[in-house]
Parts: sequence; structure tokens; C-alpha cells
Amino acid sequence: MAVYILKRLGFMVVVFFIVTMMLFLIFKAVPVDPVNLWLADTGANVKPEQYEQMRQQVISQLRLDQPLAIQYVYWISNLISGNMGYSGFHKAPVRQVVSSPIRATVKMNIVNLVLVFIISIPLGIRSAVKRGKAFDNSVQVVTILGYSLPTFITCILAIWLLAVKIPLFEMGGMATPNLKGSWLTLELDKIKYMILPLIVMTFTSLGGLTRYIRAAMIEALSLDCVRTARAKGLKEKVVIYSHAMRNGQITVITALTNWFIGIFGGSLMIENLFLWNGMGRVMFMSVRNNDWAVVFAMSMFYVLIALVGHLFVDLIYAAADPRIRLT
Amino acid sequence: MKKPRTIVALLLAAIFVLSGMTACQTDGQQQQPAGQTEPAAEPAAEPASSGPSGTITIGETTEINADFMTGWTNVSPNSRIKSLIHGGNDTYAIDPQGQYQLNTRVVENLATADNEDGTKTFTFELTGDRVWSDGTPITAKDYVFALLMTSSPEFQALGANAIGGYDYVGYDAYLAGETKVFTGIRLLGEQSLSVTVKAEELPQYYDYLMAVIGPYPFHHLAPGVTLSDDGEGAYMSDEWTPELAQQTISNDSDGTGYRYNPTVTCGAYKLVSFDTTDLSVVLEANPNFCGTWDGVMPSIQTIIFRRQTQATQMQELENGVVDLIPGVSAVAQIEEGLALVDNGVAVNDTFYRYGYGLIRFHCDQGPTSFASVRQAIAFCLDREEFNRAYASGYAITVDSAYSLAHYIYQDNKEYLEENLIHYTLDPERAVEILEADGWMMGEDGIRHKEVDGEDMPLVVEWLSSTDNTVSDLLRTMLVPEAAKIGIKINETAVSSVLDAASRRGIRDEEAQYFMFNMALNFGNPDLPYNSYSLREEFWGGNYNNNYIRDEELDRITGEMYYMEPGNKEAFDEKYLEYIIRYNELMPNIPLYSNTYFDFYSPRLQNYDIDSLYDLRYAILYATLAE
Repeated sequence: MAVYILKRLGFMVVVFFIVTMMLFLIFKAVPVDPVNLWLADTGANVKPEQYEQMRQQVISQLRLDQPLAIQYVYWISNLISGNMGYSGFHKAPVRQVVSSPIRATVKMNIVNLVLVFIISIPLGIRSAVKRGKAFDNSVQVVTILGYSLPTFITCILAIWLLAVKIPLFEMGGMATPNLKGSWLTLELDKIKYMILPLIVMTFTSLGGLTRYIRAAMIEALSLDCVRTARAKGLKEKVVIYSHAMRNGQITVITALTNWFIGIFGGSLMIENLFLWNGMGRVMFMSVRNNDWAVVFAMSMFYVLIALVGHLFVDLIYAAADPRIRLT
Repeated sequence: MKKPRTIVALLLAAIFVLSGMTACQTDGQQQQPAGQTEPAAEPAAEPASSGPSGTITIGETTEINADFMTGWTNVSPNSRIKSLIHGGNDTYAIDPQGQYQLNTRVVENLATADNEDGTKTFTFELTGDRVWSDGTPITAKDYVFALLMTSSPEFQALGANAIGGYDYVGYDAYLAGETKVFTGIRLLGEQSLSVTVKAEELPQYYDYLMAVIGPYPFHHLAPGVTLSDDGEGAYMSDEWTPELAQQTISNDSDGTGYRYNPTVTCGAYKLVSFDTTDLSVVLEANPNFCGTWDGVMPSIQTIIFRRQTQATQMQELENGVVDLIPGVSAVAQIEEGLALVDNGVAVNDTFYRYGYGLIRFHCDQGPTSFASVRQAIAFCLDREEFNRAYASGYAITVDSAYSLAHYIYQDNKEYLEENLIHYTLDPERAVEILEADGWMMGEDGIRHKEVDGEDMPLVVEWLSSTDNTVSDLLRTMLVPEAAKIGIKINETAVSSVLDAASRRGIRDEEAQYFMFNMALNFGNPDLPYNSYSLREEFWGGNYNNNYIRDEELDRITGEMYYMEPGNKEAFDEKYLEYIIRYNELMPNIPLYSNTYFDFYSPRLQNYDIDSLYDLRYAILYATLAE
């Protein structure tokens, strides 16, 4: 196992460097002048001589006057030392630009992940067991609705119904500005803002996983071992949760780990409509504002997460299924 | 043996998930000014009735960033916040008409001198009764320091625009680090300073704009540094280093950098917090504020800037989540807001946009280099109908480089109405203009003209943006009408991300596209010389971005810019000349000049805005009803 992990880590380093080079070249090929972005706020407010002077300053600061290879070496050495670069749009370190959004996104995604798994696992199993019955059909309809309705519509409907017509929740934001009170008061306030986007997120995410688990369980329930267990007179609960579920667990683990890898990526629509300051919104705004330093740094971060995540998936598979051997 | 494997698997998965949880344990930090304590356990009591009181929440659809100092970014909400926390102590102030006036609350005496070498010196005697928010007196040193700091190589090294003293004698050598002494800036006494403007910048009609100076807290930003003047110019001691500037201005690791957390300010409000989680800002009235130029102290205690989406902003106003939504221009939101006004839930105030959306032409190459073609295209569009479709009447159509908010238009409305060409849908007139200039209809249904012995078809390459209503309307309203009279407009639609990149760069010789739909806002004051100058350094980029070579336009705008100050009549005469010349040349076709709406709660009173007198100023005079 240790050898396997070391080998994989070695591969990861190689893959990481290849990806950095590819991404670097791709971002360099984007037909956008980073100097113009830096000076966008300056506009025609300064005289041409001033503008030219500022332009030269930015070129020098960004090392755009250096060969591409030098620029890459400078960038990768900074990245390795934890310096993710400097946002031309925000005129601030990328780390500073993304630190709050990434925490907000991870927080929302983790709570969503837990909720979705708590709801969809029993729902999927019960749907499989009650296949074709009224319960199963109802679950199918509801989950398909959440799955297929455009997220934008779901968000607007949720806001209209649960924040405007029946004002149970906040329309958007992450906390009440200038609220004063105890730690508990402040935390409860944050939770209050989180509920509505979470409801929408969970509703829109349920469909995929529930149907995934349902399909896996239907297959598992038709296995010979399950039929044998039933023939032995075991209780249905034991048959389902001990025999069938064990065979379906790889499906759950696959879904769980894939979701985890996606935990750092935010939902553009939900974050924008609920004013949740997360990564989906940051990435969208960065692309829109040609802020490639942020896009670049975050792409690298996601690559790293994907590489580490897949290693974990393999380890978890091996731990869960004795038939899988890591060599 | 199977059970332990499952448990291990689940444990690993759980650790995996929990590791993510740990990553987000530290929640978004609220930057607190150093020295301030955590909020009290109980809701804060409102201040005594004699002082400012109440809270107003302002909704902002543009994201607020962490930048609260001039030199880096300048998004609109941050610009408002910066004005509220740093403004009020500048040597000049904006009056309700949007005009600059000497700020007599700050300047006791101003003396100007035209020097023999062509330079001009502004000498300010400052009032001595003003203090920073921490109680330290504001002196001339703070003003001189502001100029030295924002011109210094140390400031530039922070990635800031170090142009604070650009107009003054000695700037270039000072910025280059060749000397520590800034010869054009003098510290003359405790409350006295002078600045000397370079000869090459003079004369200028608005030369006083080069003497608009505001302070930065020297004691706070440059601890241990001394600022002196031995008669040759002001300078800072060697303790002013890039490291010190980084520490006091740009340090973001512990949130103490002045840029992110300005704790010592002199404006009407103090920054209480910027919540990096939901990007809201809380300001509180600064009891040490010296008052506005006309001696008014703000009466609202707390101002909260809060992020909104367009989709729900009016519901938030209705529900009391926000009290004021400034600068609404989208039709759907205006109509929602007006419905609230009809129901008595909200009040509104409107003002004309100081600018407009437009069709921009590149005027040095291809068919659009001919004024006749540009005029003909303007006669192919029913701009009134365009405005109705685009802005449902919440915009107006103008015929040249002005908006209805311009004083020059308001003072000369009749003259302009009589003397301007009024462009509207008139294909016959367009044909007349084209044929008079030699553009004849060809067998291919496109007009042609012989230019330098070569045939030039009247094909205009238009770079438009995808998902853009203006593009959609021009596609259906302008392109078919133009085609009927032999003008072929070829559209290339690109994403707004690539839009700017696809336009012609500063030094590009060949234009690929000749027509664009864009927007502009006029400066205050509006000085169009930069945009139409024939001087090489103004070519393209942010300046002459029409690439127009018209000696007349260059002459008129140059004479406006370099006019001796004081003769308003002569200046206005040139201004009108410019507007008429622009109207003839049509380097841009003005499309829509929006009417902006501020919607607010009826409890906000005495809030009077105008095109050049927006929230930044009006909120200082506003009151909150009980």
C-alpha cells in the first residue's frame, strides 16, 4: 500500500507539472492584454504620458517583458511557495481574493453533501424496494422535477415563495450586516441566511443521486446472494441493508468521493441569486473581467484537488471492496 | 473480516469530508479597525438625539471589494465609500450643481502666482481646527505627505498608480528615485503649502483641477518618518522605505494595511467593518469630521452598504432589507420601483446620465473614414423607436456630445436645437448625402466609391457583443434599413470577454472592424481634447479611440483645453463649436442617454441628487424620519 501511494504521489508530481505547463500556455494564448486590465480603472483620466508610464510599470511588474519560459519559471516557483499570483482586476493577491469565497463554498457544499446523502440514500433504497409502486413514482416525479427545472427558475421560485410571499427566510446574503450580539446570535444569523440556498441546492441535487442509488439497489436486489438470503428466511431489513446495500456501497462511495472533489467548486446560479459569495461566482466574474490570474490559480487548485481526490477514491475502494487490490 | 473493511472505508470517507470541514472552520473575517473591540453582547444603543442617529442600508448590485484607498481599483460602490471616509478635506469641493468650488472649510486663503518660467504656483493657507478621526490635528504636512506618498517609487512598488503629483514640477525625477526632494511641492508652515504646476501643462481653463489636494494621515502611515522642506522642496527622511509602505499601506496578512482597513480618516464617516464573507460595509459618522464645504454635519449615524441582485432588489426595498437603491437604469427594475412609489412604499428621484450608449466608428480607414457614411448610417436608424424598445422611454436621444445634464446644453438649448443636424430615420436624406459624396449604387446592391483610384464597396464590419440587447436591436432596426440604401453592415458577434481584445489596440495599424456598440460617460468637467487630439500620444487606446483625424476638431478641443482660465463666455463658445462639429462628423452615433433612478424608503428625507451630485454628497445632507 505504501509503495502504491508513493508511486501515485510521484505520478501526481509529474502530471501536475505537465498540467501547469499546458495551462500556462493556454492562458498565455488567450487574446487579452493583461496590461489593459490592470489599467482599466485608469481609463482616460490620466494623460497619455502618464498612461504610458503606468503601462511600462505594469509590464515590468508582471514580467511581460521577459521570455515565456522565464515567466513560467517565475510563476511556478511562486505557486510552489504558496504565492498564487496577483489579481489584475482586484489589484490584490489571488489568495486574498479567493480565501473567503472558497470557505463559503466549501461550507455550503459540505452541508449540502451531508443533507443530500442523508435524504437520497434511504430514498433511493426505498424507491428500489418499492419499485413501480406509488412511493417510487412520487419520488421519481419529485426528483426529476428538481433535476430538470432550470436552477434559475428554482431559485426565483424559492425566493418568491419562501422569502417574499411567506417571509420565512432571507432573500439573499450571508449575514445581517452590523448585527451585534453573542457568538451564538451571529452564528444563528448566518444559518438563517444559509437555509434557502441550501434548500434549493439540495432539491436540485437530490435527483441524480437518488436515481443513481435506486438503480444500484435494483441491480443489487436481483443478485443471487440476495435471493439466497431471502430464501434463508432473513428479515427484509437485514436482506436490504446488510446484503443488498453491501453490494451497492461502491456506488455510494463513488458518488461521495466525486462529490467531494467537486466540493470546492461553487454553483454559479445559486451563488449569484442568493448573493452567496462563493467560488462559482468568483470564477464567473474572473472570466468575465478577464482576471486570468484568478482563473489560472484556481484551475491549478482544482487540478491538485482532482489528483489528490482520485488517489483517495482508489484507497477507499480498496478498503471497501476486498476484490480490489492496489499494486 | 468484511465488516472492519467497510468501517475503515467509511472512516476514510468521513475523514475526507471532515478535512474539508476543517478547511472552512475559520469563517469570513470581519475586518475590525485596530484598537477597536469586538461588538458588544447587546444591540448597540442609538446615539443621543442631538448627534447623528439611525441606520440606512444602501443596496449595491456592483460588488464591493476590499480596496478603500485611491491608487488601485475604483469600482462604483468603493468610490462612494472612499468619498465618504476620505472626502470633505480636499482643497476643492463639489457643490449641488456639480461644480468645483474652493473648499472654504479647509482653505483659509489661496494665492496663485504665474511664474516667469511659465509655471503656476498655488499657495494654500489651511484652516487649523480640523482633526483626524483619532483626534490628531490635520496639518499641511498631511497634504504634502499625500502628494509625496502617491508620487513615490515606494508607492509605485505596491502596484499603485503613483501619479499624485504628476502635474507638478520635479515629478519625473522624484518618481524615478533620482532625488528625495520634490521641487514642485513645498511645505511652507504648520498650515501652509504650495504646489507648482509644470509649464507644459499650462495654460488650462480648468487649471485648478491640478490643485485639488486631499490629506493622508502622515503620523499613521509613516511612523518614524520626518517630512521637511529646506527651501528647495518637500522631502521625506530615509525611513520612508518600500518595506514601511508595504507594512502600513498594503499589509493584508493581518488586515492592518491602510488600503484594506483605513482606521484613521477625516471624512464624514469612519469605516467600521468590511465583511469579506458577504462583502458588506458598515460606516459610522465621524464625530471629528470638520463638516461639508457649507458647514453641514451628517445626521445619519450608520450607513451600511449591502450587496443585492437586480432580480430581487425592489423586493428588498419593499421588505425594508435596504433603504436606498442608487442609480437604477434597467427598465424592469425601474417599473418595479415605480410601482412601489405608486403604493407609497418608496420614493424616487431621477437624474440624467452624464453620458450615453453609442455606436462608435473607427474613422481613419475604410468606408467609415468618410463623414458622409457615418451620417448616412445615423439616418438609417429611428433612434426614438430604438430608445422606446431599449429603455421603454427611460432614456433620451441626443444629437451630439452632450447629455441633458450638461450645463452647456441647458444654457443653450434653443441654439443647439436650431443648429444641430437631427438624425432620425430618413433613408432619402442618407442617399442624398452618400451620392453627393460619390457613393453610387452598384449592381451588387452595395454602394461603391472610387478612392485613390481603387474601388471601395460600402461594407462596414461591425464588432458586436453576444447576449446584448443593443446588438439585437441594431441587428433588426439598423442593418436592414442600411441594406436598403446600399450600405452592407457585416456583424461579427463575440463574447464580451473577447470583445475588448478584438478591438483595435493602441498601436495596431490595420483596423479589422469599423463599428462598435459601446457607451461613454463624460468627465466632470468634460474636456474632450484627449479624445480628438491629433497628437501621436493621444492616438487610439483610451484617448482618440475613434481614430479620427480632423484638424478642426483638434483645433477646437485644443483651444478649449489650453484656454486661459476665467473667460467662461469664450470657453462656452468653443464648447458649442465643438458640439456642432461633432454633430457634423458623427464619430459616434449617440443612441440612448439613460434616466437614472434612485429609489428609497420614505423615511429617508432631504435626499436630493443630480447627475453630478450623487449619493456621495447628497447623503451628507439627508435625514432619517423618526
